[in-house]
Amino acid sequence: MIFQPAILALLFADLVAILLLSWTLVLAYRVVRHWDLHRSTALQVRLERQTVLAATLVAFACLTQGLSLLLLVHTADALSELFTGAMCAVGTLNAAPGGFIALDLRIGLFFLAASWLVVHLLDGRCPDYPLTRAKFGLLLGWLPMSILAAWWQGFYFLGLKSDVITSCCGGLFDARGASFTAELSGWPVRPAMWAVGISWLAVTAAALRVALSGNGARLLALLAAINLLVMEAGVVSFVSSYVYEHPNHHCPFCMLKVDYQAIGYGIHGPLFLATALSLGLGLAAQLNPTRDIPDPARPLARRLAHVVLRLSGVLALVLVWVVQRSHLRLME
Amino acid sequence: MGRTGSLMSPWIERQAAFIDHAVRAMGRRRAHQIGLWLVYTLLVFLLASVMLFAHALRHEARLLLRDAPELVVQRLEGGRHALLSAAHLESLRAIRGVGQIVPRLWGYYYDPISRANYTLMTPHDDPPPPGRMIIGAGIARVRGLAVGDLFSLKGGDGKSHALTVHGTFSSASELISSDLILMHEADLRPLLSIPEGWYTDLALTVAQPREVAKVAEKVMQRLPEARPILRAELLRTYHALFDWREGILLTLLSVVLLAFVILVWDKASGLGAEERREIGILKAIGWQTGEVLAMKLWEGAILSLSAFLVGYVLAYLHIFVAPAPLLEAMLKGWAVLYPAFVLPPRVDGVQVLTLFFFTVFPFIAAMVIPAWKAAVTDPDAVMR
Repeated sequence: MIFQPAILALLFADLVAILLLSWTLVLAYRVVRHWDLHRSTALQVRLERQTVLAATLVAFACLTQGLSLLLLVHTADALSELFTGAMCAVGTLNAAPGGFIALDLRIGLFFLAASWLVVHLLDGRCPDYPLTRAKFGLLLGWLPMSILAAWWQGFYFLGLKSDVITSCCGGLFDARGASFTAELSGWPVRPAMWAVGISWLAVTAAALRVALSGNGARLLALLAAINLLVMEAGVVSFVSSYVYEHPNHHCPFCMLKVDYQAIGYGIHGPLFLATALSLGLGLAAQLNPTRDIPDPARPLARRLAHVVLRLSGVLALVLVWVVQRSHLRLME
Repeated sequence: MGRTGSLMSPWIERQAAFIDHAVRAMGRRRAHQIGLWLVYTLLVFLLASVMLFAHALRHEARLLLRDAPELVVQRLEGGRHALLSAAHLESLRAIRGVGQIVPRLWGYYYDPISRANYTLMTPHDDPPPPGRMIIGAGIARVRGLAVGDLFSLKGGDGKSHALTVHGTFSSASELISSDLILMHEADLRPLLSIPEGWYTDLALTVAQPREVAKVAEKVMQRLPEARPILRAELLRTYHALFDWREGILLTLLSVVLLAFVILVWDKASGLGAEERREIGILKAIGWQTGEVLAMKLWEGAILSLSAFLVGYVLAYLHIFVAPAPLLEAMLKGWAVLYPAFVLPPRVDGVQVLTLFFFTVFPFIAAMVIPAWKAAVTDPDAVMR
């Protein structure tokens, strides 16, 4: 199965990203150890020059990680045609050991990469670069995680055999089962809707506060992280049923298919982007010694919070549209 | 909205200025860039041709198999394909979930003159009258046959059977009908030595598509010597086959890509005197390292995106207008009576993304470090 073009592209992209990150590793270590903007030593001047390059390389690696997540999900969906029993990406991810771990690691890397980019953008707005040392410190942890994700993904793809009979979303998201996903599928509609609504409101209010004052970025990040989990649970619990117009179909992956207007991308796209931006803002505040966004970076942070607000608005519109146009009625 | 828009525009204006400067700088070094651009375009063209062709073939196979029966039952004897009798057919009728069972009569005929195998078949509905046949465009081409001509076939009984050409298939259906001859049952049985009451295989329709695998299981219980072939399995096999061929070609081409990336690195590292002077001047008038780096990256992005676009369009024309002369034999396979067909255009967004990963990413990655080395050049060192 390794000779699938999309799989080759994913492995290739991982290789490029790891090479780029490896190049920055030594520099990252030096920055963490020796960075001091108040000194005018030759080493400091060299570090300042090299951080420009390293930041560009890492930004490039970030872009790779983002697109890799999209490509992995779509590839898993497209490959489902090759496995007996697979109807969507779940079947493909189940067809060999490590499929879901590879996906989870990829999602983790996406949020890490996107948050790093936000921190980097905000840091660039400050004349004294208050986040530089911390953001390069993060790189030291990022590279091992990238290698782990690439290794796990490669291990999973190498294990894919086309003669495997796999189980698909019908089993994983069956409300009568005993697993965690089954519990989510069985979450009653009314409380699930309330939870999703409250969670959305909380994130929107927090984003509004950051957009207006530049304060409260860490709270926004915390609420966005919780919101991501609540929204995903809501998608499994009731959004999926409205999309498929079937009360017992709870798969969050089938909705990525063209048969359902690829509405899954319309839901997960704004959700993931808004979460990533919020996490980035919170991380920037956390890394700053004052535990808030550095003053010179506040205008940009407020603009990014505006983007979060817009993405939340798009997400809400998509969810309302899904429920409105569906012929299924889960509540009287 | 207005506020954000007004704040976004300086950034866009800044990038537009970088692009403008990059385009002018590239224009001044046309001769230096054109060779690289041509090699890059050729590379994208090759990779995109492979991907577009394989994708169109997969789609075509899916369309063709859409009308195939959900389940075909063949019988094996000593591990080889054997005929099925009317009694076998009756034994399958009782299986719940089976709709219609159509016994099929077909076989292969080797023609020593054209050195090709033909597929002889009796259609279940509306067969040609006895003594007449309908032939595929490929057979008509290699044997120079037209409607009304007599065509003689040597039967299993040792005798020659002359049949009149009643009609030919249109070229639109050539992919499936190129080597096909349709004839009446009374002509086919003596030609292929199939006794009365025996059939080549059985086509089963299953009312509920989800039950196909279950029906196949029941067929195996009633006829242990049977081999059920599922349409979904056929589709999977085609899919895997084309994917595999495409992947092998892409892997081979990746080596070329690697050589290209090394070339890009080498080219980008060797700054010309003119380019050094230009960077020196930019830094002397106040450009920051990051800005010079951004400008150099825009140069790379313009070069790679234009090569990507032109290469992709050329590949599209190559595959869907010129029917893929460079790749046909490798991806389609080979046969004496290979059908001549034009693939309907198909472009897939993810396929474009995959190609983007293969080509633009390594190119820009190879550009970054040499571009930075250029960007950190001290202005006084260059100007002196």
